Amino acid sequence: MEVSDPVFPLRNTMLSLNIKERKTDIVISSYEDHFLVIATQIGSMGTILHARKEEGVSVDPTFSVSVVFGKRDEPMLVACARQLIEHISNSGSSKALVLSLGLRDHSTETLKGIVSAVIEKFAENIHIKLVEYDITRAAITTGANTPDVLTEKHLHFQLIEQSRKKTSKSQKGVLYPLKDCSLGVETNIIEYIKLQHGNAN
Amino acid sequence: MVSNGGGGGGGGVQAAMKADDEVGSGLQLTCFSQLSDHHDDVSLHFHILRLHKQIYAWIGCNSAKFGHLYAAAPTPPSNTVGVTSLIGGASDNIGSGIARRLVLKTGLNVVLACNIPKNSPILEANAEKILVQKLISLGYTKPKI
Repeated sequence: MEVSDPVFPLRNTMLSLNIKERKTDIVISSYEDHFLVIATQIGSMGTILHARKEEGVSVDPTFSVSVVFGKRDEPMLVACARQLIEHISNSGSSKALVLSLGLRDHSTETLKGIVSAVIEKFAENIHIKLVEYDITRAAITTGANTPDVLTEKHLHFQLIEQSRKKTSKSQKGVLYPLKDCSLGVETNIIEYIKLQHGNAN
Repeated sequence: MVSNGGGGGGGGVQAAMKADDEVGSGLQLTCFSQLSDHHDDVSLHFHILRLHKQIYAWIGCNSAKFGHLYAAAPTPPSNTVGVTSLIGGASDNIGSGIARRLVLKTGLNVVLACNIPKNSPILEANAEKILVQKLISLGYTKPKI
């Protein structure tokens, strides 16, 4: 179930599924610079891992995954975090991942079930999804909240109805978050629009 | 149960939609935002997840950045609370004090993420007060003896 609110800055998704006949609750929260994924069968967060993409010069990305709380001798948990951060990175987002796994067993089947459920939810709930790569329209509102539509040819995305207000006083204007678009691309698009608009006030 | 409710108090409340659907047993998610009592240009955002034996909370100050992550837990048989930083921060940073006092009030393990800037004691105290009031209203705190 998606829990969204036009004003609250986080997008939350909650789901419940059975993995190996055990009820598993999963919560996915999308922060500005992180994804938080909590998967629990035991009523607590369990082991907490932190995964992020490393900045590097090579073409192939490298990832850093570490256990910050809980079991440090369970390689399957690390592998699970590694798979998810790689998926996040391949979808164009540079966000890090905080993964919490409170599981009764650490078998391959259980962890595969969690990874596939989370990846599916990422795609469904537009956390990470690339639809097309052909822009036809973007909109940015300036201080008076009057839309100023411009047309560009390179990327295509859809605008969603909610807006996220910039809190920095030096950057007036409302930016529309982008739907069905890779989150890494979203950031780039916003920067591109601002660049095209110059310093719109 | 998932609820998105506006918090009470001065400074304006960002009302949010209410969802009363059951989503998984034992998980309760509450999200709300509120303007700081002392700073009209500061929005505080709260994200509370109640698990069966634990509470996860996030406090956002104007932004949706994750911030530093802390874990705190009671350490029986004594009345003390153990607290540690997990991501960013240190054991004497802003969120650690809040996490520790949440454990004292709820008796549960607490994992807290917080992006309140350093050297903002009034803001920190205000955020903690709002959070605790919400936890009381949700029934997550221990009854006072």
